[in-house]
Amino acid sequence: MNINGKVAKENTYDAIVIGSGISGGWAAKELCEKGLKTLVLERGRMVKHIEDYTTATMNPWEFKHRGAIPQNIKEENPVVSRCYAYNEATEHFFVKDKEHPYVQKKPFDWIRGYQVGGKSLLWARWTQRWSDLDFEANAKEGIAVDWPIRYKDIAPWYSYVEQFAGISGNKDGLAQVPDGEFLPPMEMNCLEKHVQKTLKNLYDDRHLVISRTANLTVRHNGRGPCQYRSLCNRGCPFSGYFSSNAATLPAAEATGNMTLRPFSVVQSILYDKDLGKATGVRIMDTNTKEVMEYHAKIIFVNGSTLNSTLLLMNSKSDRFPNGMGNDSGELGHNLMDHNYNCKVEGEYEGFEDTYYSGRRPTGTYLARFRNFGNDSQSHFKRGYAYACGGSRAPFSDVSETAIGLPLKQDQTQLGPWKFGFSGMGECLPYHENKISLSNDKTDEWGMPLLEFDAEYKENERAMAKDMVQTAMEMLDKMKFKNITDKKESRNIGLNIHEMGTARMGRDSKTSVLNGHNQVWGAPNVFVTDGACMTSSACQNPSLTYMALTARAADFAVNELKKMNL
Amino acid sequence: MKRKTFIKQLGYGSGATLFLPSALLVGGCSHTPVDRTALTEVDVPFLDDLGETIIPSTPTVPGAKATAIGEYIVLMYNDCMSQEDKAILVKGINELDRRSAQMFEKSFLDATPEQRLQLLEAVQTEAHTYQLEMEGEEAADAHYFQILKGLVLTGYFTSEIGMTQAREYLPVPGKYVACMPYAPKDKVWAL
Repeated sequence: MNINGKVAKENTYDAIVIGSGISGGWAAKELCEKGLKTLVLERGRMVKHIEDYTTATMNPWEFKHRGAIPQNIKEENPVVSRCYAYNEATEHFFVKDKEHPYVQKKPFDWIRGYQVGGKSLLWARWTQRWSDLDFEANAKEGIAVDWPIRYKDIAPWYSYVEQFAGISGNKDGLAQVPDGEFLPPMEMNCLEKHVQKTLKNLYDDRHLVISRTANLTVRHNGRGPCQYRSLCNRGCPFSGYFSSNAATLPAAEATGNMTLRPFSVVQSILYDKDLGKATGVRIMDTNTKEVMEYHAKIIFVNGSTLNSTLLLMNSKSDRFPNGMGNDSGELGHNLMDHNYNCKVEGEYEGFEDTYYSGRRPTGTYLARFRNFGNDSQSHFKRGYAYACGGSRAPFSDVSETAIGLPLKQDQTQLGPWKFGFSGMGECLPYHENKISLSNDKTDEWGMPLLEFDAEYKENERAMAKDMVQTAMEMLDKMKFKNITDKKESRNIGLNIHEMGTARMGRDSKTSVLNGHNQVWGAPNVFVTDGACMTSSACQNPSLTYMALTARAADFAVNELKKMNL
Repeated sequence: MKRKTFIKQLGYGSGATLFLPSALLVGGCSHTPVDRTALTEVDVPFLDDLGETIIPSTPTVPGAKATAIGEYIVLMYNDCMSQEDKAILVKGINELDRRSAQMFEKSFLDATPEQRLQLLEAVQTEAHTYQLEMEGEEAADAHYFQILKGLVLTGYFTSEIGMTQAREYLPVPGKYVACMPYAPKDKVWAL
């Protein structure tokens, strides 16, 4: 008894945070700064800021295959090999398909980063705010369920996380992507400025802006500034962009309240029926395979969208026979990604005597104009934005047919300016797009494998068609030449914006979480990563996860103080 | 034109040599072409000279040979290429070997730089024609010269010479200049 009591005490914290990625890092920082002794559980290895960025300062010729992934690794890991950011310089931050299998009833590219910092080391850093256009859409159209929050509920938390993270951007005054607390913006190049102006003349609803981006244009909170290397995905030795490793985890660490435990797979959340709340978690140490329990008053689930839901589904009890918080039957359902199946490019004749210097780690953003303002589409609901950019390659078409001296010369001179549009479309939440637990297959750590059964549907396909047509039309109207549809075709999942499966809502009959990200029926469990999303909007989602997490942490601590949890 | 027709038309050139008895070839020249089944270290000098013909040295900037392009191609062949592309490339290298013997009665290595260029320019034209024919055919194989040229360009421009001498490399730019003047004599940034 005595011994057990001692162990229980040693394994007891005020709070447990599951996952150390972009939302887990925020939960850790907020809870630690509010004085809670916090245990952060991470399934992967430690990645120390700077020290563990082993490839960060290597030159291209210092990589054995100059950045290419060997064929045998590609064949063994076809899913991760399709990810744009996966290469010889970054491969150590990506999960190999082979090591962490899952079941695809329909194709789903699941891209994962199992390490301290998670995918916050790898993200694209685009941080557009959402607006009421997004939070009200489900209710207005009668799709899925209504978001239990509106822009006014999250706006102060956007400001709060932006001020700490450091977001560069311009105050553009666009209602669909509200302005925030910005560091100075990065600049558009000559062609981008021209396109911005031309679109403004041709249309009244096409606003090209510099993307709001979590790269630091000035030194901020002891980090940065960005050095314009655009090698972010290797980890930044200048702390030039926001990651858990560079920003939130060091802040949590500095309080003296954080215990970070890598190599810890959480198997289930423990629930006490009489208390009506969770008491702790059961984990497996991935090195020793030892199973142990930790206890806390509150638990933040930030394991990344699908692993957070996997954990809830695997947390079965008398009270929750179908998974924690699943009174509604919606747990695992309404899986979304974005639809990026649009890539269009054109050449511009002009500005031949202009160039740029430095590698800007972001692009320009053409804000949503479909089904917004005066625009109304009959073939699809919601809308899309474009990631855009102007650039000049150090070669031209001459290289296609030349060899010898003319080829060498062409490869060391600038080609024409090009401008590209990559569509980023919203996906609707469909009940039938889902994940579930395998009945018979488990992984090395005792967890059932996830089965994926999700697909783009008619609304997504119709929207993608419009994205391509509209981009080509704009390039044509702006007098671009050689306009090409690159026929972008990606599986759902590959845009790495998986959202939903434990959605927020207004009641326990139709949703898994309430308006403060509390699990219905387990009020001291908070899910604040992509799993909580009720719809997908078309903006990159990470900033919204950060804001929801900081908001939920504030609420949780206030509730603790009021003895409500 | 569809692929089959095109291959038929190739018969007058490269394809025909496939069916010539090897004795005829040996009898007519001092070089016996090798019928490789794979690319190996032995091929490095040949690949170096192929690379140098595609990206030659100029007075101030070394060409592909100085970047050990042959070693690079063999490495990529062994580690990073699909089975299909490997087979196409090996067949193509064999063909270049044969055509050199046929055209110049010597190996590519012993041919003069002018002869090498003459051969590869002809092949470049064939590859381009093939590419135009295949446009829109999703399942079409790549032409071997397209693969070879791609390897040479990538290898050269990711090498230290290619990045720092042929182009200009800024490992840590430190700032972003959005618009600056450019004249054709100016260097371009390494990617």
